[in-house]
Amino acid sequence: MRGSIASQVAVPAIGFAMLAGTLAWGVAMGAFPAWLLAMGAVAIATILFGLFRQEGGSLRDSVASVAYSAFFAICAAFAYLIAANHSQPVDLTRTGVHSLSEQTRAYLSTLSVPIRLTVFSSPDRRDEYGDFLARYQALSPLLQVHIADPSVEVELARSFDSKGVYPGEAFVETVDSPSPRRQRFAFDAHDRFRENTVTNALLRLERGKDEKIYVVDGRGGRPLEAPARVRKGQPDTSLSKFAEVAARQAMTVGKLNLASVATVPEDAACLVIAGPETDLPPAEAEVLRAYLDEGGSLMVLLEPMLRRDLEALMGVVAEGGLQSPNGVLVDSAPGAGNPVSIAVRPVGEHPIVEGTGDRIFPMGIARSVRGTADAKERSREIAPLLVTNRTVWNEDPAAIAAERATVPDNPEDIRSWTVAAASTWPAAVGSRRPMARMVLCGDSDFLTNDAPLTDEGAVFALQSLNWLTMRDDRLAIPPRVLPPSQFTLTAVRFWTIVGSLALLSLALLAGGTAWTLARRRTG
Amino acid sequence: MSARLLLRQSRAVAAREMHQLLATPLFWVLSGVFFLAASLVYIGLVSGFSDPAMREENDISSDVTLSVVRQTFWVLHYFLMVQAPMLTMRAIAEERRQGTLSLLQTTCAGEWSIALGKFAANCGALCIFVVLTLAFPLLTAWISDPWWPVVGSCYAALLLAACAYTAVGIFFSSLTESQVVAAVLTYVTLFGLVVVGQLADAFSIANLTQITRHLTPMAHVDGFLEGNVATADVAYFVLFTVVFLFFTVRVLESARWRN
Repeated sequence: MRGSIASQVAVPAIGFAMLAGTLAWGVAMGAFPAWLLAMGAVAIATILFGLFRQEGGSLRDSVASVAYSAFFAICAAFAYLIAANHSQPVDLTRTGVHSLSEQTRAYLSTLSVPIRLTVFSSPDRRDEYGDFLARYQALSPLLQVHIADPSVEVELARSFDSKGVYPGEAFVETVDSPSPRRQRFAFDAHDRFRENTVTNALLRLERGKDEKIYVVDGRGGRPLEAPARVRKGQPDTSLSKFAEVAARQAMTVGKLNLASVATVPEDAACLVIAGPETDLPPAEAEVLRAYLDEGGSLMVLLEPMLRRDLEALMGVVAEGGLQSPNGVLVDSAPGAGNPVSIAVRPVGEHPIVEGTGDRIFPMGIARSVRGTADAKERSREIAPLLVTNRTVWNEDPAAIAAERATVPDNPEDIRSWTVAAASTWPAAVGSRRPMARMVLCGDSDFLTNDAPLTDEGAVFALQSLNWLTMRDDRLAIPPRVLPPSQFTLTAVRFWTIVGSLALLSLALLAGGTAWTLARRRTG
Repeated sequence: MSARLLLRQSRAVAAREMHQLLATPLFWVLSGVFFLAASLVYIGLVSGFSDPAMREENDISSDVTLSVVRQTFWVLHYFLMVQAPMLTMRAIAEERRQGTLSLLQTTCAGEWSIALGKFAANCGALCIFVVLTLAFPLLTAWISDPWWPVVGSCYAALLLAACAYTAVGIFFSSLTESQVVAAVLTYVTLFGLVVVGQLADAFSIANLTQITRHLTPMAHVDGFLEGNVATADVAYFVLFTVVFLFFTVRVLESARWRN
């Protein structure tokens, strides 16, 4: 530095010491009051004075130099703050994991009422919630977000629930509304379905009511509620986990016993029959038919290993132009997997599968579905949704149970099969809804608690329900996930990598050094 | 001073500085040592990724770009933070010590030309090291399928960080004749910014955490490395560089007055 080091470093050193002391004091106190901030400002000014003062010049020159430097630094800080407040993020990841989906963007652009979202979070998770919810705020000025620590803002937490609120709970409420509403929901910033949860919570609040989905009870099918106690070794075939996921879609899932009603309830947006093991009595089949005639929506998930004919139920399904031949699909080239555990992929451009990509996911044991011969004549629009690989054939369930399944001789029997399909047709004139809708799926196990609920399976089911409940503009938001990378690392490749990097390092170290020394000798 | 004259003078200073940098074994030793260290980290990450048990479905651990390439660049960024002060410590300090700074100022270059020329040369030397690290994503592409836009944003982070750290190093080099003091001051500043950010997170003081999030370079590098490039992060590095170059010019002007 100019002059002796000691004399020149003294002033900036004092400034740095003051700044360090200010920071330490603030950390110890847990806050930075105005007087401490003023002390910090004096410390910074001292540092600047020590660095930029004009040695040998007048005090006026020194002050002018320091002021000029400080002014420039303050201008730069302001420029940064402006940039920070108007920051435009660009998401370069393969699947847009840092961005909100098109569905959320479209919804936020139509948000017409001010909504306040209050999230209670522990201090260590605050930034995660803040970063995620900042994306919502950037898209809608009507959305206010407040993140609070329930252990610090106790009064605020009690105003939502007098018994207290835990971290991870959130509330959405209308602001300045003549009929104020408030909804409570759980929100985990790490959850893959977090965007689904938040967007549908906002939706549910704005809409003011839930869609009701009824799971038809009493036919031996998958129960809605989990058993009180699951015995060891016994599978839990209930749909309770799926019901929780559906609840995030602003849907209420309830049970319906068709034997106890003359007509399907008015508030039913959709009926679900999951894994029935006994057939419908004629009276219940008529109730379903009448419901569909009036533009109702029905989702049927079949039990693939069932050897009993469900004539009445399949008769109702045939009303929608769909059928499911008896048989279980077997994969002749399952790789390392079980031949009867089928992998499927979405196909076509139906709204249920649109935008979900073409990623193959496991479904388990399944049976095929297809349109009836007269579907077209009867104006049933059939669309395949999920198909298998081309190495699959249809086998008798009895042969599979007896482990006598064999690959068919006719190669044409080994092909791709449809495992899920959708159907729409016009409802009766004067009906509440103009079109009836149906989804038929050749498996029900993939939604039960016993099976791992894959993201793809959950999205398929949720999007089916959204389509069936006529919520085409609010499709299930797929989780923002990253596809696994292809990776081939043989021993040869590994050692080639090691060798290449070692050679490069050696070339830099030894080669560069030798070159410079040689240049010095010659030059 | 006209822009053309400024560019010409800066280029002359930069060429001279670059020639001196590349002619010293220090640059090659530093590059070789840090490249070797980064290679060891990279090989460790690749070995870890090759174990399917370490990869969770739908998690960043199953994506090679974010698990291997990003982590490698995270380490490279710290190496840059160590390398930059060592390269820049002699930039102006050596000129002062040898008495050639006043000669430079009086004969051919203005303060901005000196600052920009020194900055360009030292930054260019660091960029040579950054370019050499292309070996990592290229080798990754040989065994996997990295997502190149994210690799590009990782490189953007390194280049912007190189510019910022070089500017800090040049500034402290301009303050002293001692290269050691210049290097130490640069390290204290750079790692001080890192430590303050971590202390704020550790003590969870809301206001301080928010301030240090803006101040510390790590928070801005993180976005680039994850493929989420924000204009605020670009602005941070650009303004950081400009401010310290401006400070360098102020110091050089004061030296001219004194001489």
